[in-house]
Amino acid sequence: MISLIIDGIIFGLQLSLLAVGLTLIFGLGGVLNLAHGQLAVIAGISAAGLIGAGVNVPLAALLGVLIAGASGLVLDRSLMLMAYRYKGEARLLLGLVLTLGLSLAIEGYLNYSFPLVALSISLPILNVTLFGIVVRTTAISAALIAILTLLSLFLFLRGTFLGKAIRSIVQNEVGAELCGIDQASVRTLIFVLGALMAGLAGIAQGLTTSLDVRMGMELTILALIVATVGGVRSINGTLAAGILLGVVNVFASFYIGTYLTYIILLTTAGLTILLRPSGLLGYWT
Amino acid sequence: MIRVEGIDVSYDETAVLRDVSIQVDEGETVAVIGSNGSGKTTLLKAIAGMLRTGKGKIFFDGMGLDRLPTHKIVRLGIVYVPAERELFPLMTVMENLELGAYRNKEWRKLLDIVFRLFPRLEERTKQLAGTLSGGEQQMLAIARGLMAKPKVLLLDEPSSGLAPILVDELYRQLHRLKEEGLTMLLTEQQVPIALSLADRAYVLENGRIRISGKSQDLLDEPEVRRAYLGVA
Repeated sequence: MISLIIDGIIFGLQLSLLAVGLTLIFGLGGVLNLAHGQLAVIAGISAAGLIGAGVNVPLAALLGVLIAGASGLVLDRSLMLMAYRYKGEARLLLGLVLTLGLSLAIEGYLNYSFPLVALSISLPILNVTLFGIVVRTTAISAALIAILTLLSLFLFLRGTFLGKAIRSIVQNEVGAELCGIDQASVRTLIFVLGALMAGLAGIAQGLTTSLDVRMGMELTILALIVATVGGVRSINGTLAAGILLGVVNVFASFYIGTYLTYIILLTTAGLTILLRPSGLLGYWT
Repeated sequence: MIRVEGIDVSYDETAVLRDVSIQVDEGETVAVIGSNGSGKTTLLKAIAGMLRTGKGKIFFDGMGLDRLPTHKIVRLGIVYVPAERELFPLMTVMENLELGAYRNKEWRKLLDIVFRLFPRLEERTKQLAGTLSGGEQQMLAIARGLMAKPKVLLLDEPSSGLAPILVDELYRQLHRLKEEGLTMLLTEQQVPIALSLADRAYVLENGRIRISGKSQDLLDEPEVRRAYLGVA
């Protein structure tokens, strides 16, 4: 029971890591990036390829994350420029179509070229005992990656000028413009940050279980559900929602079965929207 | 310092400003007065780069501002404080001020100046901007604008929505800013108080400049007295 909760929390932290990027990009850029999960896959598959070529695991993971970040940069500066030309709903819809197309293209390409590549990282020491509970070291590492990244993100948004500028744009675009903040460059930065975090989530997935080339869409959907439950503009809401849904997910697959997990997750999301329309915590950090 | 030369501005094909020319020299305080819908806000927004001009040109120190985005115009030193204030409601007073000085290394020094002008804000640095009273929000909006160290401050209806006693307080601070040499261009519906602050003024009517001149002369102008000062 307790180990189930721990598994759920660890999975939830991974989901938060993935969803936070989605949330930030939506809050700043007004687009929902349906290729977000593919960025996690790009990081994981790149890392797996590098490990296969003899690169040591930490370096391969780091390079994988950087490749995801670079992909984010290219995506923001190329395909997304088309969407950024429009405002509001038109931008959102065009963004959905473009990123959905990209997601399918990436998945198709990876599936065709590297159908058997998967990332599954194992560590020299398998298990440690914490407070009488046996936990896998890979799971602890994944959790640590997520916690440290989310903590740094939080401190960055709270404590730095740039972080405050990001929050200001989410609250009031006109106000931010009047403060001399260049929203396009801040948006690019956030897109890259989101891609880096998605990359880390991909690596974390490779640590806890495994990541293969067909998981991108599933990760995007999970991130979308988490972002919805957290309130698509709230960082700490996303964190809370990730952990909640992670635990729900693990319990649902353990007691009921994987085939119903998504229905249970979506029900949780639906209930949250009905009961708390602005998200779990309902405000921006 | 600012020269607007014959600009036209339209919203959805409806002309809001027609052939408007104004000038603001360094150290001057200039008012644009006129009734609701006369185009005052549109004029300020055009200078701030928030609306595109159809015809005509806007210059700042001889440099054309056409097609520059607002954030670049802000960095040149033209800072617009809208009547809607456009604060960050879920951020503290302090954070709002810090963002006003975005990328300005001198922000701590600027903070002292701003707090001397609006001591009430110093008492509320940790309060969320959205929970301030209307008057305090207006002060914060102006203070945030000052944190950008403006060369020209554009103030849209600073008195709007404020109780008379707060209007007086606010204008006392604007007088102080003027004495310190800040260049200001403001719009106002409350004509007497605007003319008491401004060196010169333009009267805008249906998107055209109707009359312009020194504030004192405008106060004596029969047409202005009748239309805006309520004197028969």
